[in-house]
Amino acid sequence: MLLQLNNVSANYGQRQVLSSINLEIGRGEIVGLIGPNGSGKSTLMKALVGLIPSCGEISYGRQPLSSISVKQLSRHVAYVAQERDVAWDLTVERVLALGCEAVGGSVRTPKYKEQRKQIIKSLSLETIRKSSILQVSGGEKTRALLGRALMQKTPLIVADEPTAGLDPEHQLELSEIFQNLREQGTSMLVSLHDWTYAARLCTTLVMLKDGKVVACGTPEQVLTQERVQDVYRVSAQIVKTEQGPIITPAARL
Amino acid sequence: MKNAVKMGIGAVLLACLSVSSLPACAEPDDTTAPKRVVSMNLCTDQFAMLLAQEDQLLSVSKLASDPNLSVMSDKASNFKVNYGRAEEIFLMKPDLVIAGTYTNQTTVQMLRRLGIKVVQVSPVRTLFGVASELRRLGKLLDREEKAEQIASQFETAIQHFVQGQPDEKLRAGVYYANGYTAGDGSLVNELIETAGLQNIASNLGLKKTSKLPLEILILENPQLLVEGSQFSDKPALAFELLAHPALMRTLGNNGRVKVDDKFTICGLPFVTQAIEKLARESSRLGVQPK
Amino acid sequence: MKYTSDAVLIWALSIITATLFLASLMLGAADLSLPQLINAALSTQDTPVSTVLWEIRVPRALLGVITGATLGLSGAVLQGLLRNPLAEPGLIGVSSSASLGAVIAIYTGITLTMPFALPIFALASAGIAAALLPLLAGGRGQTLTLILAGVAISSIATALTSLALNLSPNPFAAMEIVFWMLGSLNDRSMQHLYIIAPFIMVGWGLLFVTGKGLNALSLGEETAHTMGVSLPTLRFCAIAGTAASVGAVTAVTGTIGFIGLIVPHLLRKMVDDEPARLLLPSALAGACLLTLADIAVKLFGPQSNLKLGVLTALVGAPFFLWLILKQRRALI
Repeated sequence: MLLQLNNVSANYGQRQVLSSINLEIGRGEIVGLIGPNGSGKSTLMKALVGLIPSCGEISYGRQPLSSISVKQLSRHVAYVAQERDVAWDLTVERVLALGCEAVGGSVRTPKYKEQRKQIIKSLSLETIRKSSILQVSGGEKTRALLGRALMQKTPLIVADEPTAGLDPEHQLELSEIFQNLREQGTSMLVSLHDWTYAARLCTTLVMLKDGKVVACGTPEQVLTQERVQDVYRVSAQIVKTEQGPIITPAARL
Repeated sequence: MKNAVKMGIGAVLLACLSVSSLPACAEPDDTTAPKRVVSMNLCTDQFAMLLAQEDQLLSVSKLASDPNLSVMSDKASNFKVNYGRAEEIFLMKPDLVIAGTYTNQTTVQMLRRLGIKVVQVSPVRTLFGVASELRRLGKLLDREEKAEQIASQFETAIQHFVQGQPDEKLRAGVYYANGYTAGDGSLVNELIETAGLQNIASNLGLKKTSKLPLEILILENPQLLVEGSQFSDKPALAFELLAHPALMRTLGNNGRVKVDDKFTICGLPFVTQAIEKLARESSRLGVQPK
Repeated sequence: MKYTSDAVLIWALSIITATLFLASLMLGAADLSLPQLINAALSTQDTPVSTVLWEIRVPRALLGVITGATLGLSGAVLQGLLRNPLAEPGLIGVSSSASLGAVIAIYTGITLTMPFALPIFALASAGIAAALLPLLAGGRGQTLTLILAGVAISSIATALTSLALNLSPNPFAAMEIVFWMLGSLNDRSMQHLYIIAPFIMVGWGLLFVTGKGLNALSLGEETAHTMGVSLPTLRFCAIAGTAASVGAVTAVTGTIGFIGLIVPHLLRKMVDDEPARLLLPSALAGACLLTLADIAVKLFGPQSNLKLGVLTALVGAPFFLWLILKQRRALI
């Protein structure tokens, strides 16, 4: 197991935002977190990288999070935050280098250069590698920031709404990238809003509501008509295809 | 040659002093002596306390009782304190108010409008001025005899200093807070020269109170550093300069003299005490090979 | 490639700093020729010229270099920490608090009995401000609240300084206001440097280790955390380092503004906008700029009584304006 959550809860002041979450992520899995706004997706992700305090057990490998230093954590998990505000006018290449430097790598070694070449290729960043991160398009920026996370060479990547603000083409492109990564053995935890997209991308889906896990399993198990109605308060149309289900919201209840 | 110069200075000074004894004042001739006098200025306070008859002086300014600023702070406690406001002064019903030329003009005009006689005295910047101011105020207060007595005593003392000047004059630098010095045309400059020293600021052609960069002072290689007292005993960063290592290196601990500011703020007969102190330092350092 | 360009930049700035340092030694209120100065520097005899050189000009030039370097470095660090190009040491209240401490030390009279009290009070006061900052900003220490807390501390310290000077019985208070508000290197001595040297060293040390963390922080606070950067440690180094070094120089020179703001901007493009690579060049360029400003002050002559801080503000304020306009264009 790469990551194990056992009875994890978290509070914002008096309000309980996560309660008794149990979750496991193994090698080569893409776990999708779905649920309405405010259901605790981002909070869960922040809790498991130690950005907000939580109780219960979170462990990487067999090591509990509380005993892992910030430094060590950066080798267990890489995190792509929802906020993609970069403060300075860095080049895409430089942003990638930051990921490598975070885990103590040096950008001057051949090993680093090889690694960067691969990642640039797999994320199709060749044309913009010398461009400013502040001037590339949204899709390019997402890919560049994902590239930075990949440069940390962690077995697990946590990405908070990576598809937000991307057009369909770039969403599908990202999906391919994630699939390729999985094939190379990297696991992922991503939060998503698009059911169809989630169903096609993820090996496992976890549906949250009010800070609790309401369902966990394969996309077909989780995304049922009743559950979508119950959790999202919308009726949905589900069409089964060979590539997976197509699920569209139809009407508010 | 040196002696001739010395005599020359003496003669000039004497000439000045004797001119001052002529009744040259053009004050309006009041037949009756003022009986209720209020002074509003640190310097006129002390002139008034020196000259006035008992019960003639009603009130002096607040500053007159500050021992750091006033030579006569003890005596000032015998008088009512005023803060230089028209209202309080009017209520004292004075028949003569003595103020400085820098006293708040609106207050002075207000008092005049209220029918009170206000005489304004400009700051005394020369030794000659001390004696002449004594005599002028003596006449004003109807105390000419007393004034004459103090003035001639003062003149004798000055004459004594002028005649006792050394052949070799030491280079003295006056250094106040924030690097200010006293050059030509200042009272302090005259005190230093009368004490038998040469003033570096004056050699450099500086006029009145002006800034003297530390570098330039050091290059003039002063033998004596004349410091003001710390104006008041309250500390301030402004005095840090006086402890600069460059000064310590040039002068050591020996060549410093502190002249209390209360002796130099106002041109009063008390300036002789400052001259005395400077002259003593001058002869003390003069005998030692520097 | 960029590493060689960094080395070129650092060497160039070092050479300019050294040149300006020497130029500053040659200039002063007194008109001393180069041969005179060289003679004085080489001879072991104690002449007025050597006194002027060693006791007045050398400390002043050194102080200029150290102050400029401190301001430039901490400006670069704070801009990185707050992810804001308008940040500077004055913004987080350290300079004004140091001034307040110095003013308190002077007016309570402690400096008369303990000459070391002044820098210690200034530093302690800067330290208190630095400690209050995260408390006021809240546990998570968000950037915006950090800036707001800094502005609040800064205004309180300025108000208290004015109050102390206002209530001071000393007639020189007005001149003191001028000194603490405007800053000057005039006639500071070697003793001042000895007193503040340890704090400068510690401060610089803390500031220089922030480089890697600042780089990661350019991707955001949350991202930086997951990149192995301990944000509390990073904040501590940046703020404590600023408090120690800027507090120390402020204790001796008063508040000198704008250097910490301008310098990182002048260099940012040369180091590809990378916070870590900005640090050393900013320190060197700060030293250059402040020494240059001090040379200008000297050229205006002693009688002009122009204060160093006024000059930096005169140059800095229009620059600040330009920066705002540039930011505004970037927003549109």
